[in-house]
Amino acid sequence: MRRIIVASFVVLIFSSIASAQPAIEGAIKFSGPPPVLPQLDVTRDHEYCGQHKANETVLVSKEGGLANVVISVEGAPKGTAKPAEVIVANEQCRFNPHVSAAMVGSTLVVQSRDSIMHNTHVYLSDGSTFFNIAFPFKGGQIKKPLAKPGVMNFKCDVGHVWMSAYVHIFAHPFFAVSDANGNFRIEGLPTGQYTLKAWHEKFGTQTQKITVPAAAIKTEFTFKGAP
Amino acid sequence: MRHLMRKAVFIVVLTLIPAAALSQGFSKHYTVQTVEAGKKLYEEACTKCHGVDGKGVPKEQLDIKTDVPDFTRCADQGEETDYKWFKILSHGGSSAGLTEDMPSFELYSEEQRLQAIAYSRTFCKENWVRGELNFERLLTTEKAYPENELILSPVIAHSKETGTSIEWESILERRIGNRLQFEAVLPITARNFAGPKSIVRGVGDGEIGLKYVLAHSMNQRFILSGGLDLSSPTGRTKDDLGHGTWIIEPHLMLGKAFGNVIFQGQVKEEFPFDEKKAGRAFLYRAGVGYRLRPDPRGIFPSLEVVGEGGEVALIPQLRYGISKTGKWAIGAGVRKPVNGESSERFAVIGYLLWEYLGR
Repeated sequence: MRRIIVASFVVLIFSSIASAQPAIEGAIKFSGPPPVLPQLDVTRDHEYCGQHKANETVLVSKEGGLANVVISVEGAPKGTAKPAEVIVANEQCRFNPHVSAAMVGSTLVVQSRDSIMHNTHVYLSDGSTFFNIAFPFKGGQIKKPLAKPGVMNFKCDVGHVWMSAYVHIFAHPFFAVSDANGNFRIEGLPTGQYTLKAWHEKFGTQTQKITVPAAAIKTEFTFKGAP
Repeated sequence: MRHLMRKAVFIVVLTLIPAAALSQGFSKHYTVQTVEAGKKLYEEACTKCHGVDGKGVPKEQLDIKTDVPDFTRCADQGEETDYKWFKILSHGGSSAGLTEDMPSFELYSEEQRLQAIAYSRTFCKENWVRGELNFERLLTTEKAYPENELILSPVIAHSKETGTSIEWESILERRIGNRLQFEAVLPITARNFAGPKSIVRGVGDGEIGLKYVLAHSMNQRFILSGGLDLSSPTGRTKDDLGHGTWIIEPHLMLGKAFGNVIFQGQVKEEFPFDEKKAGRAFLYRAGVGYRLRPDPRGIFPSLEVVGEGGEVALIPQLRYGISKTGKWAIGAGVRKPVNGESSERFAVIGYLLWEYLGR
């Protein structure tokens, strides 16, 4: 029988009035015991890739922190942060990092650190292809400008069906990705009322109204799903 | 005059054919070194999807949407040009109107991409008549290249004798193997618009035919084919829609590229079964066009000269490739007699073609 697990995202928001740059700090929590997901079967290139790969879909720390949740502020001003490079590498037959985020105007750098053929096929939110480029040798690197907001889904088309990654593109700099302990921090958001959005590849999306700055507030997202 | 013209055409055609054929030799298009270098690249990068044997890995194993082509099938890969494959390797399958599942190999140098193409070609073990010899279709000169096409061709002509007529010709071409092609032609005509009661409508003389590639050279961009058509007396003779007799029509077709300049020619002799109903006729058609860009999608201007007996006409025309794959194209031009022996004042000719097989 398929076990249904309820995942709770507890987002703690601290807004520091004293600081020149108010920051939102939070932690994404997973309620209940950390799930033990079966490893992903490697179906090709066992000599190089091994027999199994860790399932990075739901990563929960010992303290219950949930990693790879993308937190963003909806309707945020454009801000002053400078676009940067976001790197996604084909590394040990997985994409590294599994989830990342960048601002419009940034440059996506895709690399291969494996001495085996990879084929990075990147889909946009509407299912269309952003690009599809082969990485036949170690050290290969391409750069693509990120012009539009959205979510990109990475696949490897040479039968590496276990490989996947996500990159979120925002029109502003007010976003973060929760770390291995579920923590995140968003800086520089002007005072005002906003909607905070939390996205997880398995549990989906939830939103919450917040006010910045304010006294420490505590809020909670709850997701239902089976990892 | 008539004999002189006929001789002139023969001289042009018969000097071009041996010149091109003799110069072709039988050398391969790719060097051994290129193929060997390509083999290493193929094994490094292409085998994951196309397989060591070139037959293609099942799409289910790759988790992609499109079947991987079988390179050992000459009928599939032979019709595709190196230009198209280079474009695909450089920019991915979608750049040539194919699947987005085919990635770009831009991390390889241009030379490496050509080497990989050279090796991929070795999976076809036949001396296939390559797609590079599939020159742009002219309005009346038949192509030497065997095709899988459906062509719809309207001709609106104005004649001193019969007034305005509209002929709609439907042509079905089907390639059989490497060198052979079957063809069927059905003309439908409406003529004389002097008044509603005088309009003549009906089916003209239908034709079937075979075409066979006699010689071809990828290196020399040269192709020569012979054909045999059989015209049937399906058109009503009383309304001048048909000849009223069977006609055997042997013909030769030639195509030759000089860089971006494409020459195509055809000579045809018509032998009616009953010479009281239709006379023997000699037809010649030739055209020169300039390929503005190597891509299938683009404009191809050309000029045809066509003649039958003493009647000679010119057809300035344009062809436009509609699709990235080259599977759809249109052409249009005006046929204008250049001597006084024709009753036709002018004719507007067009075609819409659809290559119904192939990728």
